[in-house]
Amino acid sequence: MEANLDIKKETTINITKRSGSGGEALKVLLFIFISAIVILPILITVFASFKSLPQIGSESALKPPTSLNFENYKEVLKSANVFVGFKNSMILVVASVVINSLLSTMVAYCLTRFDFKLKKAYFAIFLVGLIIPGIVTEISRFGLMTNIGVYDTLLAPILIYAGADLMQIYIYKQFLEQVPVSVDESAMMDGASYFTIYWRIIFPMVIPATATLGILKAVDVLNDMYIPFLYMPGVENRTLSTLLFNCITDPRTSSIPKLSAAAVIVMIPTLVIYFIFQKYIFSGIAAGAVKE
Amino acid sequence: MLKNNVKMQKNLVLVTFLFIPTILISLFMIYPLIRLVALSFTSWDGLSLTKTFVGLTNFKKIIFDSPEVWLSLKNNGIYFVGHLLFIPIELFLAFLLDNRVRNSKMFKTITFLPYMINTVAVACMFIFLYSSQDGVLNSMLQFFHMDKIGWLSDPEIVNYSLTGVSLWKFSGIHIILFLAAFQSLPKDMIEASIIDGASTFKQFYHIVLPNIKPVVEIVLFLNVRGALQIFDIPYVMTSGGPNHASETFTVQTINTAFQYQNFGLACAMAIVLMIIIIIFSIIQKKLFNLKG
Amino acid sequence: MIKKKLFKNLRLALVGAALLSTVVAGCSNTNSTSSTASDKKVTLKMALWGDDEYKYMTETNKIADAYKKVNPNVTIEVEKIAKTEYDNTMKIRSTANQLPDVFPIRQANLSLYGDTMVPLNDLKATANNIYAKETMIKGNVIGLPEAVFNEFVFYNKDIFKEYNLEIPKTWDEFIKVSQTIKDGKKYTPLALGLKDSWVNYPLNEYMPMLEAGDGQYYNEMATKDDPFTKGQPFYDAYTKIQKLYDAKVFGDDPLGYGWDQQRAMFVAGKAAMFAAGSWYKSDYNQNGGKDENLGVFLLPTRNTTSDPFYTTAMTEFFWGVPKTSKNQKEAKEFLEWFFGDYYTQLATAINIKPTMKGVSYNDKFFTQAFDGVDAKSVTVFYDDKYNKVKNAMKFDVNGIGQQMMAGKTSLDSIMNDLNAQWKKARGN
Repeated sequence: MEANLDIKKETTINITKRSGSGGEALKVLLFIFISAIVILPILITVFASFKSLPQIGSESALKPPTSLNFENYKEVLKSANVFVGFKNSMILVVASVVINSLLSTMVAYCLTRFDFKLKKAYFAIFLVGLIIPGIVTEISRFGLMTNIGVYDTLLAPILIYAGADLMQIYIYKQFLEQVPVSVDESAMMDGASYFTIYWRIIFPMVIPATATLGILKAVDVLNDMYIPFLYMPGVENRTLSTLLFNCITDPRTSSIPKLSAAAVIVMIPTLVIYFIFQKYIFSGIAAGAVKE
Repeated sequence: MLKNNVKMQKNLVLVTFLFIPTILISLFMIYPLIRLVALSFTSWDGLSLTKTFVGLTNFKKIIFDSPEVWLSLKNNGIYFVGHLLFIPIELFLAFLLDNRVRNSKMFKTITFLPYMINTVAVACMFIFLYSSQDGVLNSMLQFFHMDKIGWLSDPEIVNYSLTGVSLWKFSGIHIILFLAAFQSLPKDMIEASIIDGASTFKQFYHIVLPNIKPVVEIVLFLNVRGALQIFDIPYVMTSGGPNHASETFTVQTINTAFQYQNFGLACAMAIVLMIIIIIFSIIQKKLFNLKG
Repeated sequence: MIKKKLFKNLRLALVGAALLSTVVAGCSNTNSTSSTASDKKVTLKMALWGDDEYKYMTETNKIADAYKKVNPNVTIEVEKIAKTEYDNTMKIRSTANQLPDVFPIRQANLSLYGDTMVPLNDLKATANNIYAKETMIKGNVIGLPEAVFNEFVFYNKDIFKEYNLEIPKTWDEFIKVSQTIKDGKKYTPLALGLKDSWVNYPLNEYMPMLEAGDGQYYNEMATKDDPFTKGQPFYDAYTKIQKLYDAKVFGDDPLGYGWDQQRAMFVAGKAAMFAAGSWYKSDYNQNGGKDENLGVFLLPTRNTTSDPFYTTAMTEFFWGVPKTSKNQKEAKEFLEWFFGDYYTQLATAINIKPTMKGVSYNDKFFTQAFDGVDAKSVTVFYDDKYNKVKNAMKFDVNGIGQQMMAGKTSLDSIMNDLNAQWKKARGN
């Protein structure tokens, strides 16, 4: 399998080499340009996080900091318990991603493999879920959360994040539709139950898609501020993003340099997750060998 | 006998697999939606214990007596068109990133980077970039002896500046989806065309594009939803200013609910928005299928 | 084969992780339940948005410990909610009966809470509060204001020295001072980051009150059909503001920078003046601003030196107890205690102008602003009637400020528009 993949890579590289050098240079140039656009704002923020407020007020944002001044970082770390935030964020991410991928693959499995009454209506419900406007519905949701007793616990956001959404179901569906039903049928012949089929065949098949969707979910959860802010006011339940949110609104940290430091601190875990798992986003899909 | 057993098993799977997702979506999506509809017929201020039933007054007010609400939809339109115009570019970039450019691995990483960053952090970054005091973009313009631009202060420009931020942040997710689609295509299909000597562009247009139609469709739908619901970028960066020039429909809804204490009206606005999203999506789907 | 095993392990790991994190999440649930009333021990939940108060109550002089000494059965839990989200959060919590037992209401929202809060009319603290009676809602005191804020213009003494400037005493002098600094081409005369529209509140929100010499002028406006007509205080105040805006003394493009940059410019010595409330002082110091070249004066909005000099006093942080609180009695007792000695210490420590009789206030820094002017202070207050009109027409003075700064619509047409909308909103 691995070897197979390598050969494929080789051929693609050969192909690109063959397809002319002028075009190739142009393509690379295009991506260098895009990279510059992507990196510039991030770079400015990193620069700003090492400057003092008077420096921000008096020099160009493009000017690199003259020294690595960690004052802003210290200030942010002092004003917020980053470790508790990190722990909570991680719990939210792991629980939400795992439950969410199990639930959404189950729904997708049911929707692609079975015909049942109200199937269309069921789809429509998920469609509604996708276009329902946030925040205004929060008032009803909030009452509900307090009634079932999960207010100010990590369970509240997990319950919200865990639910399957239409986009996930749709992408899983795309994947599953490419898995021939004959695979299921032959397993059935061998005496496997539907549960076994889901667990042994379907779930492994869609792991590449799960990798992509899981990482996207993880990023959404890590970056979401409003739900943890609203449902978990307790200091012990702060997450990384609510910490950033507090930094913005706290005058001790809301000035540009400190805010930049806070933004960088919050960015780091997301980026670490991204850099570790990115190969699953990209190569995972290709290695998924859907056509097998 | 066997058939009966299978049928029972099927029902069992359906019930067990769909039970939790259904509960979650009913509690956190459908129930709030029902309350939203109910509240839209009241003049509730969001706080007092009495909720006065006012019939269709709120809807009448939105449709006939709220020019500012409809003007704000025009701003949503700018986001919509901006992202729509970018979809072909995103498609092409995803296609190149699918191993058709040197260092595609590195460029992939960079292209998706913005999506990983917290929206509030993104907003902070772009505030430096757009600022009229030592802002990076204006310093660059000055360097080339061009006139400064009021990126966030000119009512004619502010929405385009904000759309730029939205493009910066969200283009990556579209590219991921497209890339996933490309990579799930059978490789031999493309290889065959390469052997035929088809150029990159021809491969793209004639072979790849028709095969990823479903993903393009979902991206188009996500775009309608995203553009019509866009909220955090204008809210954080300009709070809808200057003088309401960059308010989007959702920003107005939230202000109506919380700043102007008219929760019933805000609920009605949310419902109107949902209807608009549905209508737009249907029209777009029809048009897309006509063309395809 | 290996692949299969890997998947199996992966799946097991997934399920394990899901269970584990649910358990962990569930566990952290248990410690937040409050104690029951059976043993008469009570936990009072308290929420606030003020950073200085929060720091004082949780670090400098812990309010929970201080109150334990007086009332050992009561535990105080303090929660800070982000300033920008405070109003929304309280509103959402109110719908689910989750309001804290004691919390401050922002003055702008006071009338909204008329039915929600317990009347505090009979408290001793109410009798001792200078402003409580001025800020009643439907005949009840529902919140006790904690602080009074005056508005000032902070200025950089070095820059004033450099241009030989005197502290302005009238509106024209104020514009002239700004103009002189502008002509020097070295500094921004008045930092105003109008990208964040609220920063112009000392001008666009308060000047009509100063013009009328009435802190409740907006309430008065709510009784009229066309308060934006020429010759009325609102119109006159806005004419003055327009004159200042037209002088273009806020840098290249004030609509293009925000509060953050406004502060950065002033602290960095690139801007000469800065209009804000007394609360800005601690922010200035925290961001490295030096006291020795910081001066302060009252915004002079009068036409001539023989006119009366008005300045605003804004009461804020209205502490109250919601009707949904299960511990109303304890919460009221707590408020009685809070506005006693603890309040005196708090007010001194965080340097707020007190609202309680007998609490002394001698802040040398801000008193210099009152030297030499016979300033009359008007207490800002918005009543229910005004709020109704405001909400019905989405009246937003700060947004109008941005519009005036943009300078594309004439003041007359803005005012005519407002008159029409105001009349309509009153009609509903």
